[in-house]
Amino acid sequence: MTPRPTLIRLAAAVVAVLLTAGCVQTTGGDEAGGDPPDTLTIATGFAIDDLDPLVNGFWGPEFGYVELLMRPNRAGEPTPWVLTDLTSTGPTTWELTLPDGATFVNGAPLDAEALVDLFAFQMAENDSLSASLPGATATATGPLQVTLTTAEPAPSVPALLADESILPVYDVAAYREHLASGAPASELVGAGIYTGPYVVDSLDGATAQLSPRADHWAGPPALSAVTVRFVPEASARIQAVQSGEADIALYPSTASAPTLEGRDDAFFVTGEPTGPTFQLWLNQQQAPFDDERVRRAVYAAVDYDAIANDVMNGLYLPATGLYTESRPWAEKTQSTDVTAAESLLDEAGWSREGDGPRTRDGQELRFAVLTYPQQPDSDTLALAFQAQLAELGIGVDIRQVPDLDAAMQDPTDWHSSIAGNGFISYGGDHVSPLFRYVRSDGQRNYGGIDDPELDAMIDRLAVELDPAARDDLLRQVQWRIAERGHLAYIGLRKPAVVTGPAWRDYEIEGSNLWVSRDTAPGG
Amino acid sequence: MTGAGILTPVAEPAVRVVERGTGRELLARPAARVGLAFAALLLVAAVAGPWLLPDPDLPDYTRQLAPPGPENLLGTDQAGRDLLARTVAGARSSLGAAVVVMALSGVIGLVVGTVAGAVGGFVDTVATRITDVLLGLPTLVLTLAVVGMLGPGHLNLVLAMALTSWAGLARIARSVARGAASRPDVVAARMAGIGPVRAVLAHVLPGVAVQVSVAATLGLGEAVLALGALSFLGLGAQPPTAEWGTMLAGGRETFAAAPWQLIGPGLGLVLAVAAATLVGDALRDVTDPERGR
Amino acid sequence: MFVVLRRVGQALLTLAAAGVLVFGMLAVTPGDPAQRVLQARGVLEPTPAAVAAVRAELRLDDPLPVRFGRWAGDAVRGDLGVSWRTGRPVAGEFAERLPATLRLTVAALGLAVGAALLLGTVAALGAGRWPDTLARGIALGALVVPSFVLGVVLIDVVVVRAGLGRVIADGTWSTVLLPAVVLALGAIATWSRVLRTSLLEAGSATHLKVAAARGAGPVRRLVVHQMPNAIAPFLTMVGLGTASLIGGAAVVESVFTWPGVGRFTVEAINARDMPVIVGFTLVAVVAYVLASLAVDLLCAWIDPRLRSPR
Repeated sequence: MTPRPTLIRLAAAVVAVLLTAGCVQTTGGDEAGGDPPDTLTIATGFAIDDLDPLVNGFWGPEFGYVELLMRPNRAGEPTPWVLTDLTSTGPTTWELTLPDGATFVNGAPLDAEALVDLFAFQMAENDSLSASLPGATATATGPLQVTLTTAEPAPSVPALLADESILPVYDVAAYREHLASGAPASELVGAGIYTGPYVVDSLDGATAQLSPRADHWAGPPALSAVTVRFVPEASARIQAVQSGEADIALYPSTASAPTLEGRDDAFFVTGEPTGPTFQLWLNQQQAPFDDERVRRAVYAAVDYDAIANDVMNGLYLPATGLYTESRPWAEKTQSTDVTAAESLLDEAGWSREGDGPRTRDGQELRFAVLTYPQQPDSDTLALAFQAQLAELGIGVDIRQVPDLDAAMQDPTDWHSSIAGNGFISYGGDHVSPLFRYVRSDGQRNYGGIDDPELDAMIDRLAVELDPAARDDLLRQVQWRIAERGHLAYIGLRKPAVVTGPAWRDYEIEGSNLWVSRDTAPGG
Repeated sequence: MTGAGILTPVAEPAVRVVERGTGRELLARPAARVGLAFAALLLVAAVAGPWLLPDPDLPDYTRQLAPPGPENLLGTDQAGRDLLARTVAGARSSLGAAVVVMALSGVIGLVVGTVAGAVGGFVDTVATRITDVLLGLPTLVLTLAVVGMLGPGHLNLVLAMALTSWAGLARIARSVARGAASRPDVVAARMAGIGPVRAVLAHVLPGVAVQVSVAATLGLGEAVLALGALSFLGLGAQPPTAEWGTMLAGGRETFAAAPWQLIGPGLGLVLAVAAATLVGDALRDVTDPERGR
Repeated sequence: MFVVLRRVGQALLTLAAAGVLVFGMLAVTPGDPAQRVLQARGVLEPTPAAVAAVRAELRLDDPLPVRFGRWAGDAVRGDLGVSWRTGRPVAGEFAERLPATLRLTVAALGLAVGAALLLGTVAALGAGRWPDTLARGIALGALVVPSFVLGVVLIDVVVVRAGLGRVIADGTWSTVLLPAVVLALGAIATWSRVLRTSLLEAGSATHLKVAAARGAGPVRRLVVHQMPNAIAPFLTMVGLGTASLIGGAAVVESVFTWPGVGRFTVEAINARDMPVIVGFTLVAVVAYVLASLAVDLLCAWIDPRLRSPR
């Protein structure tokens, strides 16, 4: 038996591990006061897997390493971004003008030829683009001029060119070479195929490190470094700001706002909403919502004002329709009217005695509302929805599902849901969401809306070039949707981030464009 | 003798047999009395709570994140729901789920162990090998795997835990059943012409069931903890269910401003685990075969 | 030598059984795998053609034994398939995150062994007196406090308020302390209790009474006589517990945003990313089998009674 050497060895190992584990210095990131910092660390919830423009190009505009031809502006018309000008020169032709001397990071020029090449490549590879502009072609009409010709009149061209998932600006020639080489997508880091003011120097599962590009076509960017950290847990992102490890936390939950009140290490910063955020879907393919009156009753019973001000403490605005009130064509189609809701329910045969539940033929009026963990606010909204409908004798059960889209695919397995979807496309287009959500053959027409009259209105709207006639049609569409109880929005969340002290004047641009060339502390 | 291995883990304690009188001896120990008091407290709260407390799911948006006070003894959460009521409702769902888990795995373990112990031979060998492999593998990893296959959800989590935690109970059942099968009264019954199935049902199963239920009851603490942890990660009960793990997850973001959200569910978990541990420890001492100090 | 071979054979057998078990779970998972692959890749409404293409790509139409053979063969070569969610090899995703998990587990293991040795020894030396009560109380406390609750409190109090440590743990040694402490707690509790019991059992042996009669002090008796006898069950416990640490790491990693394999797997479960889930199970099983094998061999080396008669 040789107990002693064994024990000594064992003890030595223990001591060694304890020393390494216990005695290493742990420090938080400390932000020294004084000069505003010239670096920015953003904590986001979504990881960027690679820099492949076809697969993950859409992340680029948000963090400043990719640019678009037009700058999305959901509050109005898109404005030129990389382009210096975009003009409609005829019903089916557009002239695009590029700036002088613009280059990709790898040095290749961004000229008419490169843009024509890019457009043709994206038409072939990007389904959204080819579906939106079937048969469109681009030709170089000058060293920096490109003419875009569409098969049909396409009023949505500016919005399409401003869409992050449709036409990111990149060096197609270099990308083709990369594809041909068979190298993994990770090789695109350092390849410099984009034009953005910041360049991704390194990228892994936890962090993207970006540095400024001094020779950017519009001048050097404001910051000396940008770090994007991928932190899926919302609470950890906020705590990272509080401990100084990050300057800005994206996608904070509304629930975290009250916890930051009165603190000086983190601030809940809100911006102007670009549109309502949470749809309240009622599945018309099933009882009780196959009855239009029940749908309208539920939409009229929701207290939109209380949701915004009492439930969400003013971090939401009351939802009044499918668009924000600031839109010239927006109609106020949603309002709370409990009396009307009650008489609609009575009319539909769902009667109530005293404070009891509403019943028809002995059956209780009771349904489930789906929520999903990716949007914690959907649970908060559902809870308020449940309490509000209970006052009318309608029973609501809350059911959280891991994948909302998958759950709503089955037309007979759900009654209602709260889904975070906008009604204006990323680039500012208001027609394509109508096609997607409420047209009878819409890809995401979850509620099973089947209204030929509405379909006809949408079809006319899609090709209407005259602004006045278009706005008028759009107003009719909104009323049709409301009067038939097809769809309503339950809440309108103000976009928000949590910032550290140095960045408390950060302005949220909307459209998720978090980092731009001129992004700097102090607004 | 071979090295102690996964097929014959030495760390597994010998089966302790609960006998008549064990209960009295148990009650004589202060630790066991404390543990039983905790268990009784949780039980009473879970059963009587709903009659005494407000609706745990009813939001009150005028009282969001109210600190503990006379109106809400444990404060409120971000929807203004009474945390005491939710903790008590959580006792029902958390403990209830744990009871279902242990009942299901108790039944599986009882059947597998009794059959293996009473039948013996090839069946026993196969059952024992499976049990040993399962017993050796880390339960939490297996539970994660099964939840992954079934998809997150409270029911799926309960099923997954039942499927992965019966092995220890099966071992106990097998050991007791084997002992019972050679007991004089069972042998006599067999010699008197009673069939093997009837002999097992009449003479072996009752004793095995008692031992397995005791062991399963003691496993409740661990089950509550695992259910809570996985629900906390979003793999089990889903909001707005009042379940301890889910409540803790919901309060995590607002924890810094309203730390009282931790008190109820945290205390519930601690009490449940402490009850099972204290009683289990005392029981182990009382039934220690080598006791005599 | 024969014992070692036999023990290695047993380990391989367990691995094979676990492999069949894991693949069996994969095979009985409800739903069409091809459908789920597409959903995990974000295709919400896959066309029948796309589903058929994925079925062909994954060769899902082969008979089950053929699929098992291919899967096992790949797994033996370290190929765990491609993550449905990220589209990258699971082995690569794990390799990227394994160092962080190992660092956390090793640190927790070290802490747990050290603390358990200390608590167990103190409790055994002062059995029945206040050091015993104190040590057992600490162990009970460590056992009953849920790790995820403690983690949430520690992050808020220690990291955010006191400014020590980091919220976004980067998986290096400098940030390992807090998560390792939380992860180690359960093991400390269990292991110290086992050590105390085996030390006391060893202490009741006759030769120790002789040693005491010959004037050996309690500490000397403990170190020279009791510990060698008690260490084998303790080490076995540690070996078995190491694998549970990996399971517990999934919880602790998620709480501390530790960039390890466990947290990656929890995310994968939410996305129903089967290859990652299966891969994690396999890695944990292999770790467990290897750890218990190592401990068994170590025990045989320390304690000659466990060696086979020649």
